Amino acid sequence: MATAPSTVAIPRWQRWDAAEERRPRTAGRRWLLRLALALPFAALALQAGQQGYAATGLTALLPGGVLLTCLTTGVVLAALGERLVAWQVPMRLGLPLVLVPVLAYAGSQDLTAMLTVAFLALAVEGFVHFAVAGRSDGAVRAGLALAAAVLCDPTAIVYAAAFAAVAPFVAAERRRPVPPGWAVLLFPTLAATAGWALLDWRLTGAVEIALDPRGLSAAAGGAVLAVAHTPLYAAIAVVYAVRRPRALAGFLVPVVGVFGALLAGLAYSAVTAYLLLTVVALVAVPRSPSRRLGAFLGTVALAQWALTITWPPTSPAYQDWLHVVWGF
Amino acid sequence: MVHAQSLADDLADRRDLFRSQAADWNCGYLDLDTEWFDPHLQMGYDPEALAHEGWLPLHHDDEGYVLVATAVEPTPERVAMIEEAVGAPVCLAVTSDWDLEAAIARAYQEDPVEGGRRHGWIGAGLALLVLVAAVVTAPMPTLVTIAVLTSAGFLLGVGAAAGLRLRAGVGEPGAEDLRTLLHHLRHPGALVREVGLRRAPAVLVRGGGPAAQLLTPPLYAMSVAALMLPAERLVPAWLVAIVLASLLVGNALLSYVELLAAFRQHRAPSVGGALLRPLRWLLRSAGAYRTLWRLLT
Repeated sequence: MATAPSTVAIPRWQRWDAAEERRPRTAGRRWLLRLALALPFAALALQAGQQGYAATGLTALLPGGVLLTCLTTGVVLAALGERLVAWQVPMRLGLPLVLVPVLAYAGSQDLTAMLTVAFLALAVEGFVHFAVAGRSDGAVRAGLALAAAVLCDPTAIVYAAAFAAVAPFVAAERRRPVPPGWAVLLFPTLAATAGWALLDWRLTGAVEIALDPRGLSAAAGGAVLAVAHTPLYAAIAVVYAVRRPRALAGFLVPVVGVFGALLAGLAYSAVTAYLLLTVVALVAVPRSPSRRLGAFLGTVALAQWALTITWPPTSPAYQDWLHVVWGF
Repeated sequence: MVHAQSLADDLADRRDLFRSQAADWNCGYLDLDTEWFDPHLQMGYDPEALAHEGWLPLHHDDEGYVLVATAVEPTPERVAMIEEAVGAPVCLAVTSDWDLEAAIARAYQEDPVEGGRRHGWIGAGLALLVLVAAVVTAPMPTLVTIAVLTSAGFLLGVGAAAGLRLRAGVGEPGAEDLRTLLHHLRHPGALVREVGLRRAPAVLVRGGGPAAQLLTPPLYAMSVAALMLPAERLVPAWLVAIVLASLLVGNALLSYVELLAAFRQHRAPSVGGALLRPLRWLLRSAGAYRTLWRLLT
């Protein structure tokens, strides 16, 4: 019997079902892929260890921290690759993320950075899903990812506040009613922060957050510099401004986060900011981009890769790693 | 016969279902918790036969009828059979088979169906004895085990209650849920027979809400002790962290679920109400202890 076609037009960005797009299809193969992607970083970590480089931060605190860092990187890269394949985004767009020294450093030595980048990228992706497709589960995913991120990096509070501030405008622009999402976005982060502060106070006797405010112009300059390092992010922002303006607010939150972190004087690393903006740009590429858009973004990605090789973002820990391990 | 088991499975309001069943049978619904029993009237009956046939005489009503609770459809033949057994005109009211079995156990103190409250007392006494012996012989491992189990049980139960709240719109766990959980724990074999081995653990976990309510006051007590006392001198620091983190995460989850429920129903969230939910939960845990005491005594 013939069935009348649906009269409901579903936007292309809304047709998304994680279950049907798992690649590789079996869990065993997915884990093999993650391990394979983690191996180069394990080799880098081994090389760094032989050169006498000692990791710092969370990687040094946890037993087997270096291996955990490499495995996390493998998982993040596999998830990103799966997303690009599922959304039919050209893989060459991943060039400025994968083939750059900053990922070699962070992916093998900086667990905090990798976790922060992964959770914040998940948050941005969830919020964009909420803003573009009106899916409430996107806001829930964003809220929970922000709570996880704040346990790695307090800067996530700025992101949560920015998302919560933007959410009512996103909701107001929609034709059909969208639930007010600010509480869902903000509450997990605040609860995680308060809980962590209480535990910190109880176990160490003090709550210490190192603040080193940089001033308004320095913070704005830092944010602009972060965007200048990532032309791919800027290009995707332009795409959003043209196609999905209401989602642009959510997409720009990482820049607000960089600005807020610098203004408040929270711990900031240009390396982490580079990775974050690049990953956010990759997860925010529209599904099945046209050949022309794909070629444009591919060119920008290549340009960003060349820019990063010649003018890399830097941080004291990254420079120390370059010096000790590679002699630069 | 309407099975309490099947009602507990989907955790729908059991009494509402029996009310609708009573309406179908053109009978009134009876809450056995609020009815008084006439011991003289109930003398001379075989409790096992009553449980098998699914009825129990309670007392004379104002008009001289004998009020009889039943969990079986009161057909004219059944009414005649009961009137013949009682020897007086009867007024039948519907209740669940599980409530009826508990009431028969209460009335005859033999507990033919539930295995006896006496057994519950014996079990509780034995557990207390083992606990005291463990505290005396190995205080530190006992304390660590209790703290870890309490924390894990609380989180698991709150998680189960949160899942039910979001998936089925079920509110706070109540006395009925606690009874159902205890019923399952007393009769695991019956649970497995009814729902199968694979689904039985899920049914027990879904009943974790009332268990979490019972664990809430001890966890609060441990958390207050961990905050106020120099606990690290007695126990490892990680235990202090686990106890405090469990309480914080559980309470945050209780509040977050309230916000999520409003969000999914496209309602503006009541942040104050959500933040006060842990307090409501704590108050309800006192009610859970009252129910447990009533079930044991």
